[in-house]
Amino acid sequence: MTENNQIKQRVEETLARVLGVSPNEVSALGMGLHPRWDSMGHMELIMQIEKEFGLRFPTYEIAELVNPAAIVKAVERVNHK
Amino acid sequence: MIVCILAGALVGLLPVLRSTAGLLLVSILSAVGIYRFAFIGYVLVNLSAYIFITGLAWLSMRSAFVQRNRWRASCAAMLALLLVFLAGRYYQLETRGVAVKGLNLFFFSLNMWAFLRLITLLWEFGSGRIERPSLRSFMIWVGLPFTLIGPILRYSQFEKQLPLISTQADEPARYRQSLRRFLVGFVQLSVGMLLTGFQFALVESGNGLPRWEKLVIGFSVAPWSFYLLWAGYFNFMESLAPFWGITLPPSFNRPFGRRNLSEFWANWNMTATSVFRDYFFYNRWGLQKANLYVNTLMVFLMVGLWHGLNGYWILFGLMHGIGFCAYLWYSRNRSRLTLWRQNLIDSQFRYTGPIATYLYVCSCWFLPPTILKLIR
Repeated sequence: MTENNQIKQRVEETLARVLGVSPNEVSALGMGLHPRWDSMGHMELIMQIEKEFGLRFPTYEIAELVNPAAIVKAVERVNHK
Repeated sequence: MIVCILAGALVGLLPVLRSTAGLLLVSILSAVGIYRFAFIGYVLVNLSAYIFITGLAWLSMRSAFVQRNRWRASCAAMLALLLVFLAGRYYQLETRGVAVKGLNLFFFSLNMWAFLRLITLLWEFGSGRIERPSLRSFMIWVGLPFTLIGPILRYSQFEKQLPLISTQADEPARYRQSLRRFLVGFVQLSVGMLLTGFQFALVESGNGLPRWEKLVIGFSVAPWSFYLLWAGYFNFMESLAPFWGITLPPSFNRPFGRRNLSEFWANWNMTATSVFRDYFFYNRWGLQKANLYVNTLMVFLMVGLWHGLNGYWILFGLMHGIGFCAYLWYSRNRSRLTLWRQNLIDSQFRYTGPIATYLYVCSCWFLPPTILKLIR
């Protein structure tokens, strides 16, 4: 498994755990598309992702991480810095 | 409002104005019409922000100046802007004119909307979301008549629409939607003005209003008149902007009757609240790990200060912050309750939630003067 796929899988697992859904359903989700992923849930979710990967997203980026794909990209970007 | 209607009609009727030069001309004329003697102050404030961004963009081109520094410099500029804004409010600089050849000119003008608009610009530029705007598009953006006194159209949202202005303005579907919005706005504004008139008549009818009358005003007439006036005004702006080929994001979505404070704020003055949410709630405030209660209080304190630097608005913000924290605490701890209790609370909230939220929101407008009196 490539590094990118691993990141994607871990992001999806974390999102599934926090939102209480199956990992298969995660890719179709986004902010506002799940009752637990509202503006308050968003910050909790981001904190869980940061904990999982041991990183910190720049403050200005947090509002833009509105779906799994954006989160995966951001994790890759922060990891490579 | 008349300036905005004229600006919309002028560009709608004269296709020759649907170019950046044409829009720039109408934007400047609109800003002059709206700001009048404070126009110079408005230009000076915006020009300062533009010069700062230009300088930062020039520095960013040098390889040694990394993104992190651009962000830090922008944060410092946002803090400086906040201090200037608060100082302007505290010393009422906007009302201090200077007499020049018989004209009373104001060399400082930074109202709440101009402040928030510039904050979004500095944030977006600092984060790298946008590059330095051209002077022409920047001037159209800050002079856009439909956003001069709200709502907020972030530069990134405006920039995307700029190349489409000449083509989108002719789409009949946009005009049909505009007409519907215009009528909704007209009805809202009319009812809002009627209610405001009624409210003033009640207040002016005597010094010692009975308590029940005060309660009626505080919990029914005043909130609805305030909401309808602003919702109507913003609907007007949303209906006029398509004449320029511009789509404004929605501002109000039936905020009264929502089940909790979170839902209320998600539907109240949305373009402004989304800025506070994105910039102040999604933040760590220097902490190692974000604390949602601290973030909530910061957001509402800023919302209060944005409205005014006085006890009333600070208390207004704090009351909303405390209410929101209580709801946040419940949402985070809800899963600890047994399923039976969760269902019981949910079924109760389904009916009582909208009433309790409405009463709490009205209390935040109505009670601060009484609380301040008690404190003093």
